[in-house]
Amino acid sequence: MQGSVLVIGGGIAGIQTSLDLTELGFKVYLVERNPSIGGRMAQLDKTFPTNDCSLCILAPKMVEVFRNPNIELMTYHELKAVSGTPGDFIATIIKKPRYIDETRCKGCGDCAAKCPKIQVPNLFDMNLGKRKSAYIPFPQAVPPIYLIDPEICLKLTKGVCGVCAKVCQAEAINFEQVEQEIKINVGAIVIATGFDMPAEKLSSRWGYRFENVVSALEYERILCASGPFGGHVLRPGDHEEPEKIAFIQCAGSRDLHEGIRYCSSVCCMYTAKEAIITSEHSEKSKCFVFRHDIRAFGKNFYEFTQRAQKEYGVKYIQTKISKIEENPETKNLTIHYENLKTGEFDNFEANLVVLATPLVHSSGSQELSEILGIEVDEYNFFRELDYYNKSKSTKEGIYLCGFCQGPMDIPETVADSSGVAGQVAAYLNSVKFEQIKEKDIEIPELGIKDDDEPRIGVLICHCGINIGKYVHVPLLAEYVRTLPNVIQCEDNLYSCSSDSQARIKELIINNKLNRFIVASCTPRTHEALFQETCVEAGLNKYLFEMVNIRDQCSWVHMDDAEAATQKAKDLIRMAVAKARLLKPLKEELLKITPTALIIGGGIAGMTAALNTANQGFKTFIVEKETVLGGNLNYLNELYPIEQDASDFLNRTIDTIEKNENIQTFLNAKIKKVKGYVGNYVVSVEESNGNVQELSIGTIIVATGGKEYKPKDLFQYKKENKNVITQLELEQLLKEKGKSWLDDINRITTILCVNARQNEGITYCSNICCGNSIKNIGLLKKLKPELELIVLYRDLQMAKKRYEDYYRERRKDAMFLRYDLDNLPIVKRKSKSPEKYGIKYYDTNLQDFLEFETDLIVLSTPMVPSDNLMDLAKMLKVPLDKNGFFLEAHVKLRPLDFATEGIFLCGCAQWPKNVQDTISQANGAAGRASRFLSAKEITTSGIVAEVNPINCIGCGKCVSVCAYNAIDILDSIKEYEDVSLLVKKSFINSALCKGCGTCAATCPNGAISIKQYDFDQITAMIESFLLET
Amino acid sequence: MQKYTPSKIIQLILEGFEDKVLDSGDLWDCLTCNQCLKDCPEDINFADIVRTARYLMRHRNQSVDEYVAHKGIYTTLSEIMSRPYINPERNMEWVPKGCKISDKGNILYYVGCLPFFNYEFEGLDTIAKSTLQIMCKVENEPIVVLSEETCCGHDIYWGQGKLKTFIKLAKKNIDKFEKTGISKIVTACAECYRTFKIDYAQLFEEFESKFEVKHLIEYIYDNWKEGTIEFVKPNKYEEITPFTYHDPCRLSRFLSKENDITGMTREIFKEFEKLGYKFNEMKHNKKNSLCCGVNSWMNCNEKSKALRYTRMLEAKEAGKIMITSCPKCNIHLSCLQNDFEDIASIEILDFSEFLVNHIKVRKSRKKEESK
Repeated sequence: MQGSVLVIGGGIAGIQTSLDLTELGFKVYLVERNPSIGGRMAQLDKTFPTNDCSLCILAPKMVEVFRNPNIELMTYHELKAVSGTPGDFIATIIKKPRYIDETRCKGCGDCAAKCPKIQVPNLFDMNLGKRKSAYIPFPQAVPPIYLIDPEICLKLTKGVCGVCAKVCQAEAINFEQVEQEIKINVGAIVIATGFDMPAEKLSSRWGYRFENVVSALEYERILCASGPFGGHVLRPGDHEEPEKIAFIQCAGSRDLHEGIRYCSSVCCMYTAKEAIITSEHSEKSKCFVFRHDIRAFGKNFYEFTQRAQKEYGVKYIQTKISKIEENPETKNLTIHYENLKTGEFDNFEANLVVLATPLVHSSGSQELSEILGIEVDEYNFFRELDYYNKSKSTKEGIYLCGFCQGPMDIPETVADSSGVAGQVAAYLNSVKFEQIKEKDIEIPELGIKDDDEPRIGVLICHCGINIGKYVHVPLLAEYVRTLPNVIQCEDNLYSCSSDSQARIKELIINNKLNRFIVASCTPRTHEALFQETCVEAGLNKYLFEMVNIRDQCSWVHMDDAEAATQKAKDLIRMAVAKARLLKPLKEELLKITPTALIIGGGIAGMTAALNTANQGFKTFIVEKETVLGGNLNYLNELYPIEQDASDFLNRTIDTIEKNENIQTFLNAKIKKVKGYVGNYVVSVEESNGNVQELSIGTIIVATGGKEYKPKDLFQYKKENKNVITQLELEQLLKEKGKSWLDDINRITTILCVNARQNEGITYCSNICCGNSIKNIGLLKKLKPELELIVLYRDLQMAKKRYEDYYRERRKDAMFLRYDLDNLPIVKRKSKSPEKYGIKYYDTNLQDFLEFETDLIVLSTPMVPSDNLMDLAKMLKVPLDKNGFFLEAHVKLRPLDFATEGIFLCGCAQWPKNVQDTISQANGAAGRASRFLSAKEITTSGIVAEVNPINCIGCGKCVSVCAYNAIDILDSIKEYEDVSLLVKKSFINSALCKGCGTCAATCPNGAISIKQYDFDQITAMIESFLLET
Repeated sequence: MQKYTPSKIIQLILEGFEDKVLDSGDLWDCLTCNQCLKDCPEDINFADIVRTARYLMRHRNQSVDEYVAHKGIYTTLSEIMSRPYINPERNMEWVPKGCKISDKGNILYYVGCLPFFNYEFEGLDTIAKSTLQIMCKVENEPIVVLSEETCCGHDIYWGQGKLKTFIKLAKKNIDKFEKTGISKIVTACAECYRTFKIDYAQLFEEFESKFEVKHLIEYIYDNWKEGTIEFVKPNKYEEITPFTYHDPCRLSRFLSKENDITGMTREIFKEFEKLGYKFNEMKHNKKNSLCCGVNSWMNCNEKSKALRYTRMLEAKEAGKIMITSCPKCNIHLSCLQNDFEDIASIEILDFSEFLVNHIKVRKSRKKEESK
């Protein structure tokens, strides 16, 4: 077995899984066929639902990959062949010639600047922009190395020119380069090849051939500040600002005629996001979304689409599109459509049309599947081994990660990537850390004495046009150079790029700087990056200060460049004042107990437990019920595989019981949680009253969810036996055979009961649609004469197999659509036999319709489990407004809590089905086992400190500390004549998060926060008010 | 003006309101060309629904009279032929000299109802003549041509939803085929082709295994690919003649995806560019082809004329000759030329008429067998 892994594909999936794998103890070969990693996420403008700038949250991860000594980054390489056996694969990889020596290229761009003006469409800009023969795909490319296109380069095709070689100062141009073959030996292979959006394959009725009809990815490039139009919303044809932009949903997905049977899953959300961002970019453009079923089933997704309509004025029209035609003079588009609400046919004139075209497998998937010997499914995605584990391909040792397996959005992909890493770690457990090399600190930390003269370096970033367009950066740099103690000040285009890091190190070392400031974007995303750079140059990371002149300056003062520049001057001057007083801080090493605690013994908890246990860590499961299994105990059958839930459950419980590393506490609860990451002491109260104290390294929260009982809604009452919820129906189907259906002829299911409302439960619960139609199928099988009706609002069937499953179920029932304005009215017509009358507004007849039914099944949302507040307080983790646990970052850290050492998975995070739960549970276990594998970690140096001389022991600090990091300790003070019992405040630096609340509260000023002490803050204020 | 749109019609039927749909009579208007099927994301065959609905509408005593053209004489002829005691005796004068026909053999040329249309629509004989000439050249045995040929039933079935009559006609035909001992049927009519290939196969279990059905296009294409025939004799005009092709709906949208008659024609036409012709597509072509305006003799009204006129304008832009492989398309489009001068110059030719003089047999089948 080899302790290394080959990851094919450098998008967010490949990147996340590579990073996790190195922390779990494996060397990674990351092969990407394009010249840069980043994939599709690098092409996006903003990401939903937080509207973060996509590249801004991705770039730090890209740079982390680049700087990681255990990831061999092989860009512009392609996999040619694989041989060997699982655990011991031999991969042959072709290195395509860049005609530029990677070891010499500095990414300066001189070659591209002098390259003759023969330009071709730039693939990264979706062929909307152009690039030359010597190029880099985008400015933040990783690695930041240029390459030459052999198809248009004059030297390579005709033997003339060669100017680039003359201007390249690093002498990196090499026209003699040829293809190279490299062989590597790996233990496992992960496929993360992502997706394509081939809009040109659509049939002509969508009008893609017209110049002002674009696909969604092309529109992302149009919106993007670094795209072909500089972030101005212009139409490709005549570069005019479009007044009316039409977004067409379902443009080709769910369409047998186009050959895409499935739902692409992410379009409903990205369309809402694009419409919102468009409204922000441009006053003039009005957005219209032509939608069919809205599938906004993820966390906070549905509210996002509602915000688009209510806050941003985006108009949503429920439609089916007939065709799109072009007006040959104005080049405007006419959309012929049917309005599904009114039943009318209408035409809409738009200046620009954005099509949400289908997302399909990446090109070359078929060939890749043949090289690897794995199967491809009926939709041309890679086939998963079985429903219960979508990360495994059909061959041992080869794993599937992200969109290459099936449509999924970024949070799901990130969770999936961690899950794959966790499973690979379990598979290659015996050879962990064999091929890992530790990060060498080449330059030891320089000792800084308190009275050493501060020598400050400043780097001011243009951030492309984000800062540079609104703040006069060169003027700023000139000004900063005049400030006392500033030895060096430079400005550059992108401080976050890898060559900028090299420059920073150069500046520090060459100028013997002992403080460094970067004035750029937000520390939230980039502080860690720059701190690491300083450490690599021998500077303690706490001698680094970051100034936000983007989010807090250029972005919010776009209309007043002069004022923005002045504000930036003030901000940097204040930072320099603080920097003079910065001190180097020490970080502590903490040992990690190699055990895991899983709170919750449902399928999420059990899967996570099996993963950590299989990696060799002792794992405890604490379950509040008397049996394991959680909600799975109440389910009858699983869809779309139509297998018995109890079979699967019993198999899993069996595996748990046989695993020696797992100890289960049933009918137990968590009484107390003390400690901090790696060193928890958890008190578990067992059923017999005994309290056990467990030493725990990391905690995984898997508390699941429960069904909402819709009291008094739609006649749901105790005495109404024939109005039941879906789980109650599952029970009946499980236990009662079919005799209970003898007197029942017609069953009506109502979806979205008390969900997706304007108030209260505003979210979409993801799983109810699928669950309901599964039960429809079962009922029809039990008693074929049954008449089944489903009243629905939108049908959520986004996952690769669900749309076909839905097509089959449409044969079993009558589907009637209602909306929030006109809820169905249910009245009880008779008591015995129980009969109900339903009145609803039928849009086909444009009139009310009444009918009778014998049984009503209500699909209600999933809500969080009981008593989570107490648990949340104990763990010091937050809950969101719906009561589910709140993760660290909705997009890129869906399984982590902001509090280190605790992880989250399953329905405790958000309602999801069994397959996704298993994937997330593996992900959480993967994330958690990074700590457990590490054996020790370092804590932050930014902590609060008590000066005991000034402390009077009043205890106010204890009452305000959110992390329970402060204790009042007794001590005896001896004086000549008396001994005094004094109380002093003591802060545990391992728990302290440096929030500063205690320092602000202390009446005597006895507490100060390192890195933000009173002197430093005073210096900043004085600098702002008194200096210029 | 239609009361209900197609998607509404389907939803109403699903909800159990088919009465509303049938009583409105909307579905008599449909040309069953299935242009709607071309784009339908769920592959719903609306023409089939219409056909079934017509059956039901007639049983509600709705009269077909106001919709059917030429006072229904052609469909009446089909109905008469379905009676057990009626045996048509077709005029066989059109059979060219030198073509050997018989009433027993391996391969049947199913002529269809052309001879009956000839008294009102001129020149349809040449379709039958040309087809038979082609087949006689290729085959080295007599071709079976039946003088008591019965109507395939297409128009009765689609235009009026007369299922029972259709079954009677089908049974008669199958009976006759079996008596001849044939195993192969070739027809030059798109509607007969569709009827045998799909409708007969669906209703009669063993039909598909007993009889191989080919349209003349497939017949010519297969022989060409096998090397039996080649295309010769350049165009008699000195200048390059542009021509176009009207895909009949029954040969484009009505066939399964694997059946690529559309593609076969294009391949053949490409060959013809060597003979001094230039093939141009019309604006609406292949699966997007426009309907010829009338189906099963129903709905020949002003709307239909407008549709045909549009089609002829497209043809005019594309070439001097318009080829089609459905005699009905031929009739309906030619008929319009009587009304409008500006489209009268286009020569409308059947596929068989176009090809007959350009086909040369390279190696005869008999020689092949003796090798």
